[in-house]
Amino acid sequence: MIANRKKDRLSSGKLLAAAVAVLLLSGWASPAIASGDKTPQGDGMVDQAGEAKAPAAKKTKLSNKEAWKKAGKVPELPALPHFLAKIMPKKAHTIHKWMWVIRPAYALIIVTFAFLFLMAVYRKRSILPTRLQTVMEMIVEGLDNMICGILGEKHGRAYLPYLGALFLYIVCLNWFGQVPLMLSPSSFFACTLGLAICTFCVVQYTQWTKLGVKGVISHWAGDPKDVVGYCVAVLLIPLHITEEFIKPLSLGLRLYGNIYGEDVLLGSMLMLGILIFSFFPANGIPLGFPLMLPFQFLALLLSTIQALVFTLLSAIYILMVLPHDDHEHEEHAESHA
Amino acid sequence: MKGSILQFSYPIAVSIAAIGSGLGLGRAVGSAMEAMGRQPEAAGKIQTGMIVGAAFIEALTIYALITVFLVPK
Repeated sequence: MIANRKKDRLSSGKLLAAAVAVLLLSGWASPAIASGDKTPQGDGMVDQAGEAKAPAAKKTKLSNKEAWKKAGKVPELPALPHFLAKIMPKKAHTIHKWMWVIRPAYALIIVTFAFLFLMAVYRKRSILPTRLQTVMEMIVEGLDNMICGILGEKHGRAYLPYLGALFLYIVCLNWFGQVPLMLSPSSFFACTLGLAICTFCVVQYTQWTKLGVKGVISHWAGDPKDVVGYCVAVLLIPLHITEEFIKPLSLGLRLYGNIYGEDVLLGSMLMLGILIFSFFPANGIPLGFPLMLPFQFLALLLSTIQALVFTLLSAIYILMVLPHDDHEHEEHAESHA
Repeated sequence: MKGSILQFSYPIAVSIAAIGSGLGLGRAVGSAMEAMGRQPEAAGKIQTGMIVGAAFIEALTIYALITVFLVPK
């Protein structure tokens, strides 16, 4: 019993360290990548239906017409920057211009809170666990079971810190959009791409260290044994190299598309709820029907599943490049070329 | 004119993608459920495989959706 607890404590300590590393990495990566993309993406004002024209929207339209047109007016749940732009119409243009910094900055809020929370839990750990510690241990144990089920006991323990931190962080990112006045940073492609690049780096590191240069090239060539094998290898190698880069791209796009689509759905439903009351002569009075409420529960569920999918796929990409000492998992490796 | 054509074609494109991946998901999840019913002890492994497969199938619809979002209207 005590030995078991010791193991748990060890893995939660590693989890904490890896969490901080992943969070910092993606937090730095996202603004750097985002700086290439300066269009005010998806800053459609949800509450445009209410008053004649929001000054913020007008301002953006005048000064930044091209970009606005390019981004399209995609509805979105209103967040803090939108309200700030409404309160201070003069600063609206600046706020829209700096949106590419504000969006990833939400990730830093999550990082801060997650760090403080985990520190608080980690400091007060004891043999007789408090309620919070029990919850955290349950989460860690669940992740341990899941990842060890895929990667096997030995490799699973080695990669649990990274994958577990990834799962928890993505769940936080996705759920953060449901907090009033907050955005989910994962509805921003740079953020999800940053996470996918983390996975890419882990996979590449594993591949080159565990298999070695010869092993990797042989793996890319499909382990040729006869003349036909070598002929096919010429075709297989470029395919595998392309795949290495497509994997993180699709990983990032999937998460981004799901969360962004979800946000757009919620925004449209909110807008529909406002439009229902448009016959009512409410000049500027915020009036609406919360149509997006059922979809928010759906969003919570789907966000969790997407985080799980991201983690599982990362685990399977790692599994694909691990040396096959047991042939139990081979069908996974071939299933999605 | 161009805009109005796109306004019709985007939803059609997404719905075709959704039909395809809906059929695919139906097959995948249905078979997984059958397999789970036949071998309840292997439910965990089957579920993992099913979720991963479902993610790959679902990604196609998501790509269509992203295209609609990102292509200038």
